[in-house]
Amino acid sequence: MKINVDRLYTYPVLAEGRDDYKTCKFSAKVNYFSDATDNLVLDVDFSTNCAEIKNLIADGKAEYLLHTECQLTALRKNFTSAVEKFSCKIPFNSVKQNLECLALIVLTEDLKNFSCKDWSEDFDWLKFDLKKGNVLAYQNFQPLPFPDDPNIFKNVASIFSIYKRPVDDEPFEVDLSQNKIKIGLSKKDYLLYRRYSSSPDMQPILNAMIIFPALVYVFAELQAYEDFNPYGSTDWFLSLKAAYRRKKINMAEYIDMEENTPIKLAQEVMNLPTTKALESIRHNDAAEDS
Amino acid sequence: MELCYLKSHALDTLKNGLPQTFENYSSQQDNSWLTEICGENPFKKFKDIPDFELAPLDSGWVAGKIEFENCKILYKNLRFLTPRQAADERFWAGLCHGTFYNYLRRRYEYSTKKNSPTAKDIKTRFFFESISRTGILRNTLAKCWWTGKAFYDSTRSNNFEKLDILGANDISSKISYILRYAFAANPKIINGIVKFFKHFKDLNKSLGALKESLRPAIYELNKRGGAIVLDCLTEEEIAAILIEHVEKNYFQSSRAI
Repeated sequence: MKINVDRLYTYPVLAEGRDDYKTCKFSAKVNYFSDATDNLVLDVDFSTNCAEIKNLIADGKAEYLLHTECQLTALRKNFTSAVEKFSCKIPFNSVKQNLECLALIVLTEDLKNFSCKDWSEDFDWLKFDLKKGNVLAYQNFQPLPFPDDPNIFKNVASIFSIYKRPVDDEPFEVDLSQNKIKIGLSKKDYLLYRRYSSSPDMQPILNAMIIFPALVYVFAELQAYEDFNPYGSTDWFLSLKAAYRRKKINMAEYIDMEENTPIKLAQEVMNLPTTKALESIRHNDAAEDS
Repeated sequence: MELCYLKSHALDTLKNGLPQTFENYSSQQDNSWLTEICGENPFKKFKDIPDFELAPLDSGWVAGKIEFENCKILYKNLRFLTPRQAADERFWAGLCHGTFYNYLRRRYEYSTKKNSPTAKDIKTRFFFESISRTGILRNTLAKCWWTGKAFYDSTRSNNFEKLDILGANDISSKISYILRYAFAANPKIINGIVKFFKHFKDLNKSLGALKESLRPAIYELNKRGGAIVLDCLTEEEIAAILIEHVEKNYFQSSRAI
């Protein structure tokens, strides 16, 4: 969504390129970066020196709003706040090509007799009755570009291979020495795993039960070796490294940070597997009830 | 079922070659000719999923009912797709040329030679006509998935209750009139639209020719969006705008006639 300067409003609007206000300004800055759980984080900072508009915000009659939109993926999210600075998150996987952003100040309720001393002479002595959702101020932004990712049809699970061990009632084992991370399940577990693994509704649950703990072990192992020597040339390691590179994170430095425990790293790479599993359980449960 | 997408260069080859190959879609009963054109297997595996079938074409259902059912079937079975994956032409072109190649041929009656497609028909239905929301919503399968997604509700026991409220009748027009607008990406606005449909359904009042009732009402909503940020309104307020418009401009004016 973009507001063109030639859009006609029936009342004064504060924005660059418009002369409805004499001296007052409205501006917004957006800084963005990616976090480790595949989200785009937007730090927004609004600023206006219009006392009348600021009073409306203080009274809860107006609010700051960051409108985000990606038409291709049908993403349209608004983030609102009564304070100038706030952060919001958008999952990378919900944006393609670019993300459009627009900063606004909008009314949260109908308003009678609005006036401002800073309005230009055209509006001298005028008062306006405005509606909830009316725009008081805005600033357009250039769309944030999202380069196409050729790997969007790959997922973390593809660096794993699950095989059947010729034993019963044994714990599963993990082997990191090969090109895929091999997870060996006992006969019975393997058969049950196979039975459910192709069901999209069961996959998040199985991932949380099997892939997630294995990945915790992977990071514990990687942290134990300064140069990742035993694993540095395996395909799974290179894939993992590439996944971090795509997020513009130096993997070696990142996993070496004290606060980044194996359990935190594994959850980040899998983008919150426990949350996804619980959501699947809830969904499966609702489906059974219906 | 093995889900496959089209390799990027295969997609380019097939799409650019349509002026020469579009007749193959009616004359060739299977998709083996794609390999010949591309010089290699054009598909790449994405993942294995349980088998599913699209709505039957030989059950006597009208096209709208088939499309309506396919919205549910496709979204239910491919719910794991991320929006980014579901906006990728390679995926839908892969399904249209792979698993569901024959289904599409039968759906448009190319297989019986009742209809002869033009290159543009093929481009629209098997590919994305353009890399835009409109292009996505005109692909035979992508359109259904995105409709399923827009009206899916994981919190209700019937996940497709909202779609059921819309109803199968003339679903293509409903999709086209509603989802073409960017505001339809906001679930709150979609809920408002569903409430509008429910209002008239509960009153047992038919919206009749959607071109004269739904389309102008949605257009009115879009027009209001020029003055206010629609996303700031509640579902009830969105519904009220639509209801008021239809009552005044459709029911009352038709009564006057």
